[in-house]
Amino acid sequence: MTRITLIALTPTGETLLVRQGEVTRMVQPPEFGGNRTLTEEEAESAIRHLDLTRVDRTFDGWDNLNRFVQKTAAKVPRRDGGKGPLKLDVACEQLKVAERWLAQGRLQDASRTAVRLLGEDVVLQDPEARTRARAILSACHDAPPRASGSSTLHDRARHKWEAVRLNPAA
Amino acid sequence: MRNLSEVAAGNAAAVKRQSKSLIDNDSSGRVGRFHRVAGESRLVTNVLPHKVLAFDFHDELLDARRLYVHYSGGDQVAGITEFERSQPAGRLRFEGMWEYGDRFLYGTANAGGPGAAGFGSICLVIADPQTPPPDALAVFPDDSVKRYAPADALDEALATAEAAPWEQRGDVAVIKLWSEVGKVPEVRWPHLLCNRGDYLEVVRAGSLPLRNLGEVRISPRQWDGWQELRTRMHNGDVLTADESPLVATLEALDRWRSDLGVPIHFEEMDEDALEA
Repeated sequence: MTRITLIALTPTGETLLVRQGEVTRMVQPPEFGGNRTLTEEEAESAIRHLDLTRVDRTFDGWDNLNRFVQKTAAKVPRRDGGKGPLKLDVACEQLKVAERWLAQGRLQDASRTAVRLLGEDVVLQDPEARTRARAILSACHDAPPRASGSSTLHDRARHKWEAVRLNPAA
Repeated sequence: MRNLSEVAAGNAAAVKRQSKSLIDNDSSGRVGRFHRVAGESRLVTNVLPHKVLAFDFHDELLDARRLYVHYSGGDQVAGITEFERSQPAGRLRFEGMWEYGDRFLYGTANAGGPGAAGFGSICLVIADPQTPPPDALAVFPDDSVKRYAPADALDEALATAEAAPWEQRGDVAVIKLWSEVGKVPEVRWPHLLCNRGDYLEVVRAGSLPLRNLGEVRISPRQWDGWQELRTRMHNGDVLTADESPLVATLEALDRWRSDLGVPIHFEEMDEDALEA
């Protein structure tokens, strides 16, 4: 079992500072720089600069560490986002996402999104949004199947990050 | 303990004199133009999602101690203890020399771009640090801990001598960077003024409601990534523990935009990309 020391983390759990053997690493989503190896000095600096919470606790494997992170994050008070009806601007952002997925050949994701949005009143009542959703759906059905290796650099980075979180040897 | 704003005001004339001399001695006029660019810089605090979520919960920007109390579920003692355990002695000593030092919120003078991205890639731009009136406000030529307490021993005299009023950030920038100004194209002056490793630090204490934000700067890549996560979540996918806060951050920023009128400005924030 891999022993990992969680040195510090953001209380909401999206950024971790961990040590495995002699290696200290920052583990975070790609948009914040992804995973990188840090010197001890850089690690100390990161704790100060990012206002990380020190933990200094060793776990048997990433699963146990992840469970701890989840429990910690759950304790942080958060505004209740509210679960009101979908707003048009959010629906339009999601249409953009679906169009991007379509262009990347992620047909299933694009199609699921379009189907869901076509069930939303706010989309049905907006001619432009409705037309876009229908166009995505239609394009998904017309498109030939594509190889799965079409994800963007961003997706690949995210998958790699997830892989490292789950399997530090990856 | 000293009052930071008063100390800064006391240094104002000397700072102005020194800066004016440097501007007057530059026949190219570049130092004067740099002075204007830096003088129009804005107070920016770079943050990660966890801070956005804490600020969103309280509807205001929080200093680090209040953040830790928040993370401790409101337990003052536990939060402050955790803060003190997490921070270097030099920071505590620097804050200990000033009135309101235990409520300092740190930022940088930023004239554009990602700024001090080492603190986080989300840039919260304060519309006007003088509104509401702060309990303390000053600008320093560098990161205070790095400059005044690098090995935890505090150089109180230097910190006192270098604090300057916010209005004189252009002068402080000239005094610090006048010799570099000619080596860098004007378009890169915002980067010269504020980058990952070097910046003018601005220290402020006092209430700062979210409605006093002038804008949020974020990279389109971040925004698109978070939109994808939210779409996946609405589609019924279960997000991982580290993805959920990113969607919550997106929703917080959306709320700030729609309810508080804080615009979101999309800008390439990847310093490496900008360097290329």
